Amino acid sequence: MRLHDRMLACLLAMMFILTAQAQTPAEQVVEEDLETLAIDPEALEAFKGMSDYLGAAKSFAYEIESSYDVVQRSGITVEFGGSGKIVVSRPDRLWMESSRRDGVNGTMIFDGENIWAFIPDENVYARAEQPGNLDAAIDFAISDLNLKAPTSDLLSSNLYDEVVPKLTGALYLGEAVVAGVSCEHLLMSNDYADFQLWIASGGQPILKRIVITYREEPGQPQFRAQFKNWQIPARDTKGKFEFRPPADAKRIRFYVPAVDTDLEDAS
Amino acid sequence: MSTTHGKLLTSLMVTSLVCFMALDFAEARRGGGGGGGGRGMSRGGPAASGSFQRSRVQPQRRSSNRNMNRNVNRQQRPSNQDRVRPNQGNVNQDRLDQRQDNRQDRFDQRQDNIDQRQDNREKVYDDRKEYYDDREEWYENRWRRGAYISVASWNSMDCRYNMTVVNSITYYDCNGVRYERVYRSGQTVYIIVN
Repeated sequence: MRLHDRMLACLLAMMFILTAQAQTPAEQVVEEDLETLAIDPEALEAFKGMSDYLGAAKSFAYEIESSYDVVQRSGITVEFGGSGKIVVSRPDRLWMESSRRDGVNGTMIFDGENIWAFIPDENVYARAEQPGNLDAAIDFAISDLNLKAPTSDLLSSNLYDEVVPKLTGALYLGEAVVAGVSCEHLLMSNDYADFQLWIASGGQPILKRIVITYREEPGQPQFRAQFKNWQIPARDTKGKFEFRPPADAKRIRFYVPAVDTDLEDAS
Repeated sequence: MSTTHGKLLTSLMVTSLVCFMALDFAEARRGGGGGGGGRGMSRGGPAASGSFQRSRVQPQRRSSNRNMNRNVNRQQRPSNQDRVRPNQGNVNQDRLDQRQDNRQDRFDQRQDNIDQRQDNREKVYDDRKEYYDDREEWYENRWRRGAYISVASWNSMDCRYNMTVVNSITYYDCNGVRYERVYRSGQTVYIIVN
């Protein structure tokens, strides 16, 4: 009797665990879709909605809380992160403020003629001439000045046409709630990375969350960001894009490396 | 009472066996335990990176062999026209076979896609390995020129530096080494300029 009871209990527990681990049919369907890496029109439609909405905005602002993985030489992955505020006024104005978790704060401004980088805690700034529109300025800042501008993909005036032709897969994963907002959950993939987007449902298709997985990189590090306080159009932008260095601020130069210098401190 | 328990136990064992078989089947469909598409929807594990790591050590020829085997299987699979069935007029059987063929084709296509992506990943890995090797060599050379140190490291050097201004650029001379304070990726660092 007791032996039977024990065996019965063990079997029930085993069945419970197995049942909990078993995937639902919906999950298996999505897995098969992921294998084929199909381009799902529903996903493209949701993405186009966001792209068109942001592309048509004369100005917008948002805040992010972000984190990212760095795979160290030892193979250990360490997470870093921070917060940021971004204000955009098309065609040629940008203001970005970042606060890293380690306490380093900075501001980057594009005023249509120059890119300014200011570190208030050290009272130093750098300036690089870059006349042109916002898209060109961002390209210059990232490619030539080696600046970090997370989520700057969103600032493109032509996001859909830039992204979609390079996609190798796009899936609509369903509805999901992010920070209390109902969203469309998309998974997209290109030759460089996989990225998941959570785009708010309804009349304001704004991005609420993004997770980028650099799957070809060792350790498949991720970038994650949660978006909040969207303003479309942006409010209180007067004077926002004009940078006047404090009188006692010291000007320094941008460090423009000849090659990628994403390495540790040499000390 | 004991008989009832015995029956219940037997039926539970049968159910468990069925569960095991179902899970094994599901696992097999995913490509033998994480090799294929299972990585995409994994929610709490390193399934995706696990597959990636495996592809890094997987020899190229292995995927080629798989491709070859599948092609052979495709060639050996008889078409609808070639099949001889006891009841030629059975339309349902035709449809069943057609669906089976379609399913097999889709499965083969998926496997081809997976192998293609895997081959691409291996190529990318090789390229990146070469890139990192080059970068490592470059890193070793950095000490001679262009190396940088953080502000924290600079402050910990306890150096009584001399400042020199040349063409509006301020240089800091410390123990025979000349530094310049620059803006790099959101923070200031001191690069060695000689």
